[in-house]
Amino acid sequence: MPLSIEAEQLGKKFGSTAALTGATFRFDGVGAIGYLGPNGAGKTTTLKLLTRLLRPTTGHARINGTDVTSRPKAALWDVGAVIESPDPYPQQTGREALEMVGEFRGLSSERLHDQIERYAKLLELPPLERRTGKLSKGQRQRIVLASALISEPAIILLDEPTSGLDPAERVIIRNLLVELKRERLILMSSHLLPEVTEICDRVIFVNEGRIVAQDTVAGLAGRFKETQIDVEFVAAPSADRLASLAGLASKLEAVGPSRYRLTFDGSDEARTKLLVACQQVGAIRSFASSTLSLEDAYLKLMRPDGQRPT
Amino acid sequence: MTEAVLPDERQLLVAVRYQLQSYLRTYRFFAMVGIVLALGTIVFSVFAYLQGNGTIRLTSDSSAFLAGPGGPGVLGFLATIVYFSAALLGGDAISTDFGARTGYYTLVLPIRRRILLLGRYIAAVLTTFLIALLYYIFAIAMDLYFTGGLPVGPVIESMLVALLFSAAAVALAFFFSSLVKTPALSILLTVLMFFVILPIITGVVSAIANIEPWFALNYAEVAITEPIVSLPHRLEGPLAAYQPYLWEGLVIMAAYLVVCLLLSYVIYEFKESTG
Repeated sequence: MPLSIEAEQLGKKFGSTAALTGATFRFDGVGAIGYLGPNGAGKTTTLKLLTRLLRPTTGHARINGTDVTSRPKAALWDVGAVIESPDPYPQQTGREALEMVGEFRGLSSERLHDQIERYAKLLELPPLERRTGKLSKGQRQRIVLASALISEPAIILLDEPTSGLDPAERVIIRNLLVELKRERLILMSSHLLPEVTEICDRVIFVNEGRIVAQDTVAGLAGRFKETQIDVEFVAAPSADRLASLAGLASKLEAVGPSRYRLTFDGSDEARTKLLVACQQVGAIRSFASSTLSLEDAYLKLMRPDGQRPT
Repeated sequence: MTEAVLPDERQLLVAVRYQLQSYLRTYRFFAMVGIVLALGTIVFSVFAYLQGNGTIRLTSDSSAFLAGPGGPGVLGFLATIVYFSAALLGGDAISTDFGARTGYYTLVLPIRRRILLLGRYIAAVLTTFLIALLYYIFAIAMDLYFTGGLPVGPVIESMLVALLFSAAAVALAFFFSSLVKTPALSILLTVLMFFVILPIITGVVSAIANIEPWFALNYAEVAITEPIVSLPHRLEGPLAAYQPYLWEGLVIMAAYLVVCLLLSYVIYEFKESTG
């Protein structure tokens, strides 16, 4: 069956406040999509609309072509989802929490047993006979993730899957997701841009309830491709001399008494011209360049000034 | 995923089984069992003591012993036990999905909400009835001990009425749990409804306005003991008092069950996880 996650003019209002407005995207096939945005941007709202935890004010959410709001059981049958930080029933043991989900999803007891053993190893689950109410947040989070994956769903929706986990736990989850995306379609929200860069092939940026960009990770970073050169002179140059650099760089800013940051298009030709021009301005102590990353693209899109927070 | 979509009825069985397991492990369940054991022990000890020193003389009328009048009517505590159990088990059955984080675990699963609701409801009714049965066991044991007799048929009928009463009380608790988001608040509201609001309304309507309070669940509770001892429908006195006919009590209970459960379902179906 072809896999797809689709939002068509999807919107959600809480009273007069619009949490999401006209979100439209469609992803088919396998792979991982990062859903990025600041707190309150509408990421979790979108995921809740895709899992029928919320009802849309406008538009449609569809999974594999089936409308989530009108036919939730059919739409979510092949979906594993972890939204917010779910708690299994605290009286249940980890094993019972997983068994309950597996039985709801129609797994035979034999397969269920095998799957629990498989994910216990893959996710290094805590002792499964312990009640979930007695587990740490990270341990519970791994149980919850295992429950979402236990039926091997083709579509996986994750809301900040590694939040609250320690670095070792994050590595486990990240590696698993990289493995899973080869055969599944994953949509995950995250604040951790390096993690998204590692796991995801495509990204959606959402801000103030609106999708502001969607592309492949490389495409989006490329769209905002800029290279910066930090050049430090032995002595502070005069303004006249500095003016000769202005025509070569799109932006020139002082970042120290004799240190300047030049932003340009990243071409080799421009870099060479800038180096020559800088040498004519004065003796150079250092000359280093860096290319903008997904993080920089994020900041460009999300922050009006495009600057990194201090 | 290769499994075919599981039919609703099989998912319902899974929901009942796991919810029952969960209820039977809660502190609330153990607290209710403790209360029933303590209450049964106290009632037995008091009667044994009073009969032993000659303060009271219990007759051989086992019906009166169980249901009064003319005897202690030990089954009179049963409705209170059911109210407490229903409030503690059903009072947060729905609100917990939206006020706590368990909803994020279950509501994203491919299962219709009405099936989840029904599974929880059946489990809560069974657990409440189990607690009621425990008290029945005490009452029967005391009846046999003090009167030497037991009206078996009427007691079984009374148990069946108690099952319907449990179902009605739990349905009302579910309704309150669907109205608010905070689990503790929904339990509190349910307790207030059972022990303060309904008794006041019933008292005012029947005693002062002289109207039969056919709309109140607590009015129907007397029907639990009707199969054992039938009371007059209207008791004359300075303040009027009504007792429901058995059929009337059953209708009230059934009405509460159907209406409250339906309302709970509608609210649950459209409720959103906004927290």
